[in-house]
Amino acid sequence: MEQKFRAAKPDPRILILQIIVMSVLSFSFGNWTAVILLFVAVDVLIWIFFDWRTSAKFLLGYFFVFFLQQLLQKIYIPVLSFLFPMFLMVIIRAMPVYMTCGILIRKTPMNELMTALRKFRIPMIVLIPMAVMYRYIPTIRQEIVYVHESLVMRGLHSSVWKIMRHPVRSIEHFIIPLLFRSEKITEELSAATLCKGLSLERERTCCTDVRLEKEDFLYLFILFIAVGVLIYVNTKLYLF
Amino acid sequence: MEKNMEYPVLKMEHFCFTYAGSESPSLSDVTLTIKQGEFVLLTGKSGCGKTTFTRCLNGLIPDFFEGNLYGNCCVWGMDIKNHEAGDYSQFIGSVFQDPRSQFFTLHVKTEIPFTSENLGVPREQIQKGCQEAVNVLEIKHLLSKSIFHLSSGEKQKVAVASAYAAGVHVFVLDEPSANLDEEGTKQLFEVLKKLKEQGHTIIISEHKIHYLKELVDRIILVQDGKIKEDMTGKEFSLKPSQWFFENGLRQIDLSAIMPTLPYKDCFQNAIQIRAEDISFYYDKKISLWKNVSFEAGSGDIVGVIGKNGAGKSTLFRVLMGLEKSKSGKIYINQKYAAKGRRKKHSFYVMQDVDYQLFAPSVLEEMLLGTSKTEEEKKKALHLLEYFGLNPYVSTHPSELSGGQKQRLSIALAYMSNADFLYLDEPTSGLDGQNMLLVRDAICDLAKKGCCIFVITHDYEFAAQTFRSLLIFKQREQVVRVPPEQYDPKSLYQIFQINKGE
Repeated sequence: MEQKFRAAKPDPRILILQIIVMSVLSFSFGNWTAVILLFVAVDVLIWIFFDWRTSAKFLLGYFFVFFLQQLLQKIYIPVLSFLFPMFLMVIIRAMPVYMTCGILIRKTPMNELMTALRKFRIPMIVLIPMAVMYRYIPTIRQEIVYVHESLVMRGLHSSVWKIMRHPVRSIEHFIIPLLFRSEKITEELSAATLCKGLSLERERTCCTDVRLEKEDFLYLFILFIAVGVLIYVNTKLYLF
Repeated sequence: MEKNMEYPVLKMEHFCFTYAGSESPSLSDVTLTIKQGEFVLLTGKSGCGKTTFTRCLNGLIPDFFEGNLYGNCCVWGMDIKNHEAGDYSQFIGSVFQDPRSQFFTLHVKTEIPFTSENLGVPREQIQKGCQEAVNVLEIKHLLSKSIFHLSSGEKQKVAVASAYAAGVHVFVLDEPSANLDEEGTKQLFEVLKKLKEQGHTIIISEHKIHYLKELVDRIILVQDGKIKEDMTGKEFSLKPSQWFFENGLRQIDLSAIMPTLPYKDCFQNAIQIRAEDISFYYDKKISLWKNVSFEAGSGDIVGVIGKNGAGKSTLFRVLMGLEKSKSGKIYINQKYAAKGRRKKHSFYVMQDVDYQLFAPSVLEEMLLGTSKTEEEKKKALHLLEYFGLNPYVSTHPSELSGGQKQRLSIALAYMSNADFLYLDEPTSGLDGQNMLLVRDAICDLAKKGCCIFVITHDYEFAAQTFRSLLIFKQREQVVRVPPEQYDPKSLYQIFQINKGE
């Protein structure tokens, strides 16, 4: 069996455009029907690109936050009713953006993302740190788990009561090993990457052919129709 | 660029290098030539300067690791003073010790072409290179996997494949076997054998040398930044085991290491842990291990042995109280011990000790979590002296070497008065001398009445450390060999050491 070198579809640029469009729509819509419909549309994409479980989790989370926000507006609790709905509102608006970012990370290998962004003339000096972050995020989660377990085993883990009594010490115990590990990993990672020839001056190539094809334009077309419908709903259709 | 036979891979003439911020040189007055096609092993105690050699070879010195250099050092005909790491990438491929931090992308299929892409190789040529690397190294089955789902041996294979696909002529490997089990080490051996057969130059810096004895053409023994001996593979394999011991090295012939008991005294079971029919699974259909029952007590050093992924670390997590077993019960001193109680009695030394050190100095680390009375301080200082760490009392723990960190962790276990100590691969990446120091520290703690569980793949360490075994077999089975039935010679078979070698 030959190894297949086929670029991931949709093209990373389409997925980036999708993030931008969803951010603008999500934060500019004034009509709740459109806001919810936008979330549902993105959740359907999550179903397609991830699986139904992830999609269901987002759906439950979203409606929980949504109803909590509505509830706090109806029932007045001092301070909470003033601050919390604002915070929840940001979550409601940001969730579709977070989900579309998830789709980009899931669908696009880093080399293709870098190639696609280079086609947008984004300089390597911006791309390399971005790629390092992209690589480091999954690692740091694991690091946090290890440090937490070490704290538990040394009897230094912070219960809520302990954190309240010694906030600085609790943070220090957590942050210091995390920083040392991060420093070590980033140093090793940078050294390995330099040895693998990543450089600001040298122009990269890509093992797959990253270009816009028919299916990308079809995806873009569907995206535009969806956007059109959402804008129409936002201006004309009020269910809430 | 085509392979150019004119250039030696490395040519050093009276070369000295001192890292920025360091007072003593890491390499001093080194004159050395490595020719193309050689298989060279760089060995020596920890901190002797082996890694500095590899950093010169892949161009990280002086571009990434800054410092003062004197004399000449040319790699592939290019003076390292005038070139950066990327200039060597098309000739020299590097494989590092920690597989977690040497991959830049998250998938095997994108990591293999990564070097070639960075070098601007045309697409068709990259695809051809990848195809060849995948075929030669036989890793087709790994292509669809994420980097995080590979075993440590597979990760090293992928690291080699990435360099291979870029068409490099020289492979520089810095302690590639440090995190590998026997299976992984075997895989690495096969890969190196293939590279050698194809005429590649291989320069490898290693502590574990036994798996390389059939492959090496030349051995360079480094001591205090200088070349102490430069010999052929044959001369090296004829050295007596005393020579390795005197130079602080690991042994080359594992079959010459006679497994024995670390000490003969018997202890009363002042403390005891008993597991009764414990099982664990992440997925209900597939148990990691099932109905495990055993007992262990004071003075016991239990060797926990099995393949990677068999569930050894998970058993530790259950015994230590970080995880609940799915069925069965655990008793400490005949009383049922829930998670909290197990945690209180246990101390854990992780493979990567960096996660466990929290304080700004070694002494403060020892006193962390105590009431810091004069008495405790005295105890801490006494322990540090006992473990040979007294010169580092005010040093930051992160500045200690790997062996020193492991010893500090064992001193911390003393300090915590834990009854049960769990060590996960305590000797990976340690030289012969440090391995023996760690072993002595473990035995001392056991003699004082602690019960110790050790996961290891290191036969040299295991041979004279264990007093009993817990063997992870296939099909969810865990077999206990208690101290009274433990025959150290059984380790020959368990670690597949060929006595006839």
